Amino acid sequence: MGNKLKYTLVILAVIAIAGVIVLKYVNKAADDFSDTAPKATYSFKAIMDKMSNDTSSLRSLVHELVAVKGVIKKITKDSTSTRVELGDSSTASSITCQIDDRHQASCSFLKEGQPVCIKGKIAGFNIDLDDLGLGNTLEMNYCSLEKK
Amino acid sequence: MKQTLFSLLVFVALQTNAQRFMTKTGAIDFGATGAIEKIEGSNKSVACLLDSKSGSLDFIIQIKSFVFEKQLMQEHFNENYMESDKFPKASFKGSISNLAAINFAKDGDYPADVTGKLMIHGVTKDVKFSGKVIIKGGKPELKSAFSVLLADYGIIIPGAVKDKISKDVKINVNCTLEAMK
Repeated sequence: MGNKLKYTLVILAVIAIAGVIVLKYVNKAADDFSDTAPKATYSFKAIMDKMSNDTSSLRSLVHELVAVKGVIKKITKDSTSTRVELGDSSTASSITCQIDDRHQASCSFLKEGQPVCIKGKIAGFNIDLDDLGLGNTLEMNYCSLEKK
Repeated sequence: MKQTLFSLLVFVALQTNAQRFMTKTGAIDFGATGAIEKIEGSNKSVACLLDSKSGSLDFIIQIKSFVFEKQLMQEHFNENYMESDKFPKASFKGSISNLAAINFAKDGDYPADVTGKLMIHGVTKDVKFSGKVIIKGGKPELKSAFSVLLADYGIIIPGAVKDKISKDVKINVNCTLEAMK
């Protein structure tokens, strides 16, 4: 085998490996956080109080993985997704949790009124400044049940 | 006499509340599939408020609540296109213009025309959409499908990926509302 052929094969191999790495990177599925430890665990009241009294502290949690202990106020299901809303009837304020599609099955037994600990990434929050009557809302996505 | 007055007040209060419907778990999906790649995202934490008496309609959407199948797509969506740290929310504030054609007390499918101001990426535009209000068991379900041009909202597609991403984004709205308590 001549040197020229060897170099060509090496270059082709490097290109092929680089291609596979790029393809894997581009097509990497969204992270699954079900086995990741949350940065912190809060009660429903504790994290909602941050929205009323300490928004800068809450803002620092946006995009962080946290777990929240609360009671299920509402479950919304369709053919492809499940959303769980934590809260209670005494307040319009609530936490909405978009259950990760990969963990729909483990949430199928959930019922309204059930105490639960849900883990997810904080996507943002809405403070009912316009007094629309919606209360304050914390939004979490990529959610799953916290096992611990 | 006092009891009758109290019952009347409760009745009036219930009637008043039944005019307002809301959800915090409405769904908005979008597709911007170009020539090469399927690009789809969904947000199932959309807040929506409808006043059936005045026809006023509000939507509040957290941009970071959109989820994607692919990690990189989500990063590009938030960082490069929507700049969600700078513009964390989108919103719609408007009203149903053919409100008289919708009977909120009777089950059925009613075509709805909506006009208002749509704010995306910090840019607000006057818009008109068509959709449906489906009344089922006293609950209104809002459905609409429409397109928006990314350029109208100052969202720039870099030349390197212009074939991958469609210039107009197809948006599907599906929100089932409940009477406010």
